[in-house]
Amino acid sequence: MTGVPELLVLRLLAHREMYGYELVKAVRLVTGEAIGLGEGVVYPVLHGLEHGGALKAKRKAVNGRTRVYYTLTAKGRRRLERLSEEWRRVSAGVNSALGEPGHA
Amino acid sequence: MPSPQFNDLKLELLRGGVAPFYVRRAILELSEHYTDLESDALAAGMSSDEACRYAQALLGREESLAAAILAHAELLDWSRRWPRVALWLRSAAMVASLPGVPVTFCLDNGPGIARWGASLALATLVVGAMVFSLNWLIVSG
Repeated sequence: MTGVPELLVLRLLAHREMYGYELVKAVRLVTGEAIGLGEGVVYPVLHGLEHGGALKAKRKAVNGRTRVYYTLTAKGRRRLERLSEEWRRVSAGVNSALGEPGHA
Repeated sequence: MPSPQFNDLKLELLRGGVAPFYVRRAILELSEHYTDLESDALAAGMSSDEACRYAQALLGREESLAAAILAHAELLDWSRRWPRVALWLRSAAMVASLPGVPVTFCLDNGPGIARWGASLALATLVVGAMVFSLNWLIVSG
């Protein structure tokens, strides 16, 4: 499952900017609760992606709170395409192996 | 129950070599995350204590949070990621600063050095003039 949190984060941020708490809830929602990112684990993933240039962070004051919003960069978009492609290939391979009784 | 300050986490991360920028950011975001969890729990009808416990349980222990962050090598300070480069640069900076030591010393002790310099210059001038006069007397006499 390596790279799954990264893929989900990039996919969700491709639609709109979000902050950590929002992202954790969104991951649960879009995966039908099948995947739950650890509440505190999302931040190193976000920071790692930001460090790699895939995300851009911006602080915003909202109702007296400081939110750090993340947006996808062009580099992040390319990374999302690459990861999605890789995931589809792996997923097809696993599905194929599960569907073939000879390989089970 | 007071909100966690994440002081232990902060220390653990700094000790582990995480860049201070990411330490500050992580603490800020985790504090906000905690407040969000607590607010949602209160809105769902939990008592204040229950909401605190719920938020702490979901966020996880500080050791687990530290381990998750420390697992990301890219978040470490550059001197931890490239220790040899850091060692070379620090050594080079130290050697490069050595010629500056006498200058700094002079700047710090300017008036004293000026007094000593003026006295030495005057003494040299007086002794030089006496030696020159004696030489001249001997040669011309």
